[in-house]
Amino acid sequence: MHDDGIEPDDAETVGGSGHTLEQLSAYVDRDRMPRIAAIEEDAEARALVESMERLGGLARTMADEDAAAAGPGDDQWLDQLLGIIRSEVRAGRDLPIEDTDELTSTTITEGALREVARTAGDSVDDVLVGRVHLAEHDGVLDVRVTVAVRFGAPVVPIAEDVRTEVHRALVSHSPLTIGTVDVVVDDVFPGSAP
Amino acid sequence: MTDPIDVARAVDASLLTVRGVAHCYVAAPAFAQVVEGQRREVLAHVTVLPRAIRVAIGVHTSHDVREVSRTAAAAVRAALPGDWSDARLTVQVRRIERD
Amino acid sequence: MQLEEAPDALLAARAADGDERAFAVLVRRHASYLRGFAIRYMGSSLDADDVVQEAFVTAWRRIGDLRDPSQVRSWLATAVARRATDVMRTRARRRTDAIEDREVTDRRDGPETVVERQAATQALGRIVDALPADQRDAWMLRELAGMSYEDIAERTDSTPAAVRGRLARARQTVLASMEEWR
Repeated sequence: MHDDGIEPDDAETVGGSGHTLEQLSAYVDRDRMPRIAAIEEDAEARALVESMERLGGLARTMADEDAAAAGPGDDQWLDQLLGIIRSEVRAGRDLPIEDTDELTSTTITEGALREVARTAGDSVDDVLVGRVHLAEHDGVLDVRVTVAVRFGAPVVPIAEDVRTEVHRALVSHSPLTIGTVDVVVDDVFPGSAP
Repeated sequence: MTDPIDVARAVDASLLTVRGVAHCYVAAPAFAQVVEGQRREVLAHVTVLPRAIRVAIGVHTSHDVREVSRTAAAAVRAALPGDWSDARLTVQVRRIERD
Repeated sequence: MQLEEAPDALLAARAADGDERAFAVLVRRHASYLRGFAIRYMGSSLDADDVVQEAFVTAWRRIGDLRDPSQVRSWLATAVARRATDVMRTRARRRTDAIEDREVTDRRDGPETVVERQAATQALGRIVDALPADQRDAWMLRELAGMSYEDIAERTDSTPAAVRGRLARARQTVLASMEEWR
């Protein structure tokens, strides 16, 4: 069989399209883009492409039925999983808070500071915080927060509010001086603002 | 020398009473190797050579991180047996916990 | 703003940053789909709970590696397929005979789950189950897990071109069989 994917000279092309079954199948997986006229304008080839697309739709229906049959898992299964997740706190680097004496130091993790920034940003209406990027240099912490804003809500004042809230929260929780706080709006989520 | 396990237990216990500490976490550095689903006996990480103690805490969001970590460090110091008074101590704030 | 309303990409980005609440939303959102996929992929519901749970834990540890956060659902399905394969290999090694352990489609649903399945999807399930192993694998990973040819090739120690061929032949067989069924 042609497992190496090289089409032998006698590989059948479908209809008058000049394309093989394999090529049509790959074309479907590319969502029929860019459009290939030779395929779309040949009745047999197009029929086959459409059949393969319908088959994909049926597969998705099957997956939905499988999901319904399997269900979301019982509470114990979920609690156990979330317990493990919760216990594996991914912390990132340690940033110093203070050295009480030569033998004692206190630190705060990047992860904890990101959580502070996230919570502060989330508190602004119509905003969801995405990634929080922290960069430390010479005891100064620069922050970049990427957010999604609800469709229709005013982006500029919201970004300002996020900056204010994040700055305020970090000042009270971070031992480092806060440098710049950048807010990047890179996404919109659906639902209209009131 | 006081057994490191006993030191760790004493340290764990001392943190229970510190205001603002919401939760303690496993402080061992090789975190991914923690056996899943099993409760560890102690959370504080205690080494003998060199003598060092490491704890990881979560602080309530309404409290001042500097104050709580300082208080926690003092509480741990006070709980150490005499022969561990020269141990290095690191208190790590790993999470800010919502109230 | 509720995290439950957030799109997958944003949740995945937060989870990569360490936000386990965002990951928990992803878990709840995709658990049924992943459990259904695990059962379908392994041919039985045995071990499905463990496989999906372990896949989620692995995914949590590795979510920083996810290049395109919007593809997190497919990425999770990949983790499930990987874990399922490990489990099936272990199971096979333990068996004294080498008979392939695939149950009939109807036995996948537990006695307590009554789900109305279309006749067409039932037929599809039977036809896919009857495919040669490498075609069935490629078909499921493409159609049910949404994996790319490259990722499927990597998993099966093969090439994207070979995957392309297997998929085409699988689809050809399935279409022909579905025609017959109709």
